Amino acid sequence: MKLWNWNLRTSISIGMMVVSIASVVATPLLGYVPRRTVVSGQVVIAKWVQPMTWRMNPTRTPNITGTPSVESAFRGAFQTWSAVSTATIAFAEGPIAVGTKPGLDHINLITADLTAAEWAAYGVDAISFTNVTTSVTTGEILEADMMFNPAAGFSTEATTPPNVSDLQAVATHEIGHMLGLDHTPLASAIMFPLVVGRSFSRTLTSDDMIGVSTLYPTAAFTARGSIEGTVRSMSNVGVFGAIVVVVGQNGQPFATTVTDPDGRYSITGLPAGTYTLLAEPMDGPFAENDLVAPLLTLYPSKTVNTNFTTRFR
Amino acid sequence: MALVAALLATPAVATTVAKLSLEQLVQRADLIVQGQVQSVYSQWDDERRLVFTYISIHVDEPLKGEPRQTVLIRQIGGRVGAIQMSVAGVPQFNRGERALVFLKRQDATTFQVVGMNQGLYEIVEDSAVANVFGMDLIDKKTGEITKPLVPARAPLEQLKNKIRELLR
Repeated sequence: MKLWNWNLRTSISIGMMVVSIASVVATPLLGYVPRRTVVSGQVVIAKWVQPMTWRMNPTRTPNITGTPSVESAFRGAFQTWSAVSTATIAFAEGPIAVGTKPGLDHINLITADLTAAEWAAYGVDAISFTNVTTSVTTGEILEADMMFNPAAGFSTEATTPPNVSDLQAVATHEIGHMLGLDHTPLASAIMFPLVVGRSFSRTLTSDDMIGVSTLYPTAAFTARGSIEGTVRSMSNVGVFGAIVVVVGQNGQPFATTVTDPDGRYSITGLPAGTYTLLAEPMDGPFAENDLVAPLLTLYPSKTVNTNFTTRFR
Repeated sequence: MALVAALLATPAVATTVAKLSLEQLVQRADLIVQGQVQSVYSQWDDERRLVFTYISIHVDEPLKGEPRQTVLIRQIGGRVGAIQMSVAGVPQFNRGERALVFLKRQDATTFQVVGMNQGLYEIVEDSAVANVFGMDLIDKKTGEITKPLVPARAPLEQLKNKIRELLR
């Protein structure tokens, strides 16, 4: 019930809408929060087609502290995703790539070995980012490079000292991008983009695991349950761009997705159980540029509805 | 003051973004302008290894920094031919949009947006619509609810007045 109260508080208008669960709907275009692209007028999900081989430049720069090696942090981050039992993620580690810099070269690079000038040239005010290269004709991810800001402090220790970031945890988040996941609106998840007064975890949440399993499902994942439905206004119009949150019986958010232009959503990979659904507008809770802008790129003639409150029926 | 200085020295944790307050945005920016997006184009770098997008903004009103008619933003990512390079959290600009942007000088001719998409407010009618604000969903680990430091939407004039106050 607390979640319900928060949901009300984030809403900013007096408009009302209803979340209804339909048992039979057409397949929604949007799944969890994967990267999407438009191929020949069709929205497709960006993903790897072939097993991905990654290579590291393990050179330790002065901004990285801690006894454990950079190599162990990077490998640990990849192992976290490989361990998701419901996803068929296939990583292979290629040869060490000392001296290799980010850029289109068929090397999926992870590196902290950058100069301040090299970093500045990217124009990204961040401590780390991943550049994902996708074919706009097939949607296939062709390459992904992950890089860390030489001016930002990182630690390889299991307990992160104040004012620096855990290298392995940040790498874990970035690998989610390498795999094709975008940012999620769920604050507890690895793929949530903002850190607000807390450290990032090295551990995946159910939202992260469902996200990656939706992209690379095992047969067991596909056989799990799903919730599909439509978010509609009181006047029975589908609501585009609503964040749908699946909440478990313990009251914790479990997984999220975003509705398509007809208001449809689908969340797959749910273990048997009882769940509550919430619908949130994107305005307060989530970054307009993280989801609204990409959605409008995909559906340029549509309008994302960020101006509603919800109630159950 | 020491705390403020330490925060300012730390780059925004980007895909792991550290939330910046309006005060931090104002202090970190070399240039704050209200304007309209004139053009957006993407091209390969000289070595043809990375795609960069250039956004030209016509300045309607300068709020911080030396006055100028236009400002050019350069950031990684974009589409050239059949190749799309993308970085989560990088601001998206569309031609014709009106915006209030917080910018850091990148080189002699180009700027970058402060704190990734935190440094971009889109102007819709007479409101400034922010791009990144806190979640109101629970944080599983701490049990805390993250609160936005500034409202997601604010009257444009009110936001500009706050910025002007912070610059005094």
